[in-house]
Amino acid sequence: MFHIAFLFIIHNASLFSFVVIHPDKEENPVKSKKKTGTINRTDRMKNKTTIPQKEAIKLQESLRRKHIGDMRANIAEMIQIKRAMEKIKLDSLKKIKNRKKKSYLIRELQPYEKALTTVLSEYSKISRKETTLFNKEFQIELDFDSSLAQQSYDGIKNALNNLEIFLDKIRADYDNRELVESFSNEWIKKDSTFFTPIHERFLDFKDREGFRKFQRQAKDRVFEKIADFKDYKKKIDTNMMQMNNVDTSMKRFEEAPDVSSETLKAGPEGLYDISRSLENYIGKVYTDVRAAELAIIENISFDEAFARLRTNRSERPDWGEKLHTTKKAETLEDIDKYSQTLTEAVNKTDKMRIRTLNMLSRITDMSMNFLSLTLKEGKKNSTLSLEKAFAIERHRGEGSKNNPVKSSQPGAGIGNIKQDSGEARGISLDRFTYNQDSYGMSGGRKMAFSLPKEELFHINEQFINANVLPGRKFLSESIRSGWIYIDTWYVIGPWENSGAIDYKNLHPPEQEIDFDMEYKDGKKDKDGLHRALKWRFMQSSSVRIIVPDEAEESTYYLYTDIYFERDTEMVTAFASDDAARVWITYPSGRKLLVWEDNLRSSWKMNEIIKKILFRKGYNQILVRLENGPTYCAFSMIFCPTEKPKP
Amino acid sequence: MSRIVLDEEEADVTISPLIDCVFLLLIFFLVSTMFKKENKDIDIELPESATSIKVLPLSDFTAIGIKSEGQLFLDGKPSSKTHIHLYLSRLGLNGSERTIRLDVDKETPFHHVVEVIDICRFRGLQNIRIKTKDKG
Repeated sequence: MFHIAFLFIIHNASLFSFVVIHPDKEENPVKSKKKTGTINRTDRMKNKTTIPQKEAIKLQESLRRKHIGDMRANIAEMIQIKRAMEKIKLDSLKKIKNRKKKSYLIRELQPYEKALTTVLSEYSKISRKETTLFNKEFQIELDFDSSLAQQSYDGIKNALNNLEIFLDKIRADYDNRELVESFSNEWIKKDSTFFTPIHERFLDFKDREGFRKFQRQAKDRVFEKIADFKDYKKKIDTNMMQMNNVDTSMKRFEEAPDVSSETLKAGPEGLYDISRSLENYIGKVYTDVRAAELAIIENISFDEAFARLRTNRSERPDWGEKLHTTKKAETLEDIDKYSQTLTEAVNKTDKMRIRTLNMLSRITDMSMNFLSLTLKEGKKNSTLSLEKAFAIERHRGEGSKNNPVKSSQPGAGIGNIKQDSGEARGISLDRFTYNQDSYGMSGGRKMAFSLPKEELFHINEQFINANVLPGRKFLSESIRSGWIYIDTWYVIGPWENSGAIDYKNLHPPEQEIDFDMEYKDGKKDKDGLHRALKWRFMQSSSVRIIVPDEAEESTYYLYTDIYFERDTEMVTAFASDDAARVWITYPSGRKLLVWEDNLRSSWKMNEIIKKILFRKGYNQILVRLENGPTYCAFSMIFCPTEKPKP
Repeated sequence: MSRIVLDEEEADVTISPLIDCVFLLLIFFLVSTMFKKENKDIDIELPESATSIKVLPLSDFTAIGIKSEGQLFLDGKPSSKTHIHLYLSRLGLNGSERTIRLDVDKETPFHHVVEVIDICRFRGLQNIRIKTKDKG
């Protein structure tokens, strides 16, 4: 019995080894290489063997067809990017043409705005029972109820808000004279700012005359500005200067590459060339848009701005020659090499696509995730296009009296966009709205805590940079409010990633955090030796965390913990250059992947905005940062969705 | 010839004083042992300070030592960063009143000190003192 069992085992083992050593002769070696990922000796020997010409041509053709499809997909996206960029460029050039009007209007409105702000601030002092008024000639004895001044205060506050809305409209559409004119007239009619408070107790107010005098002065000061503003139309006409530099930049459109359906029928070498010329062209349009922006900001000519940018954009080398191979494949090795060259070509066109997408992202202030998904969705669904997405963004940016949503910022992921018009759907996840008056992010004045859920949310990068504070502890007695960034991190890296974003390749920090460990498998240094990696403590003085020992094509890990006194939901904005993964480990030990970025995108503070629930106690945060070429950065900022309860 | 008869008493050793001495010594050692403080100091060269304040020896404190090369000590014994993190985290949970004394070598890079202070403060331990050598 024993003998039989033993023989049975030996027999099975020999059969198994036979299968391993002698794989099926019919199996495609290219396929088997894909499965194992390495070519073993047997494969190498097999690859040297010649294959029938018919078979070789068939294999070459199938590989060619597959890779051409991938390259065309990348080019199709780049064509969409090109169109969007061209449109943005035209808009920018139009702005240059009319910028004199804008600068004039803004300049005219500034003292008006300042006067209102001053008056508002003085009224605020009255309501706070401070005795110093902006006119120190008289002192009002503030023994009356502070609510007496409330009516006037609220009136001025409304006037200031209206003015800000008006200013935003002008910034968006400063060519609209009617808008400006009607506003200034209506504003005077409607304004009830400087009415004397109606309150019975006011009659008993000792210094009633003094208070009225103060009001009159405030009123005169503001009305004087309004009167100046009414004459704006004449002043614009006399001062406006047309800029005659638009034509030069318009000529640059002539350089656009031919991307007709005929040219797209080309082979991989032709497609690579189209992709390359598209990338170069989009790069030029990008520079033009940047030059136009600079020209508007600095009030200089387009040509001058263009020269100032000193763009020395290096063109991608003509690598496509490699694809021009006429050699017919004879062995499997030849087929394998051909396949590798085609894969490389697809990867290169993909890199070009990402680069152009990045340019569009920078110009439109929209995240790459959002744009990429819009482009993909746009292909499937004709009702959604980039232009529509921009229109939606512009519409939100305009703001209106009836619509409290002033502007929004795209998040990323797949979900529904809540639209006023209700026409576009299907792009963004985790987007929020906030009330212009409640959060003040785009208006940038005050921070309150009434963020409605599941609506559009916008963060103003400049405002946040100016007001954000570092912090890792959230207590009820904390005086900090608004946006907070994590400044303290432990960082470790770099590990080699060979330019690929491969989250499957795990490193020790994903298993355990041990600050005392030294890992010897770091990225090789200049001498070709593996670096010894240790956790390093770092504190950043800015939102953008730049890792120490920054290296290209590397993986880094960042670790920190944050403390919450109670379960708290936070609006959290992540951003990375390039890709990143973020995990949160709750005090209970539960680990959650809260964000994953798979794109090689440059750092943008609002790359993604999410609501995240942090648990009471110490919440650990682990970030895996994947760096491609050049810079490596990460940021994480957050803001409570509601005012902490006492 | 007169015979003097000496009434010689048998020689005897008095052990009472000896017992007294032994007890005194015993009590001395007992008492001195009870009051001996745990030595939490490490062999470092402290930074000098002209404005340092002399304080009475603390009875209840945690000493964190940082040598010039960044090596960490906890209450005089070699420790590690992970251990310090865990220890201070537990300490913080039990109450934030405990004093933390930092014994830092004058050659220690400042970022090591900042790191430890940051850990202490994050864990709610605000009572941090830095041990210095009186210049006078």
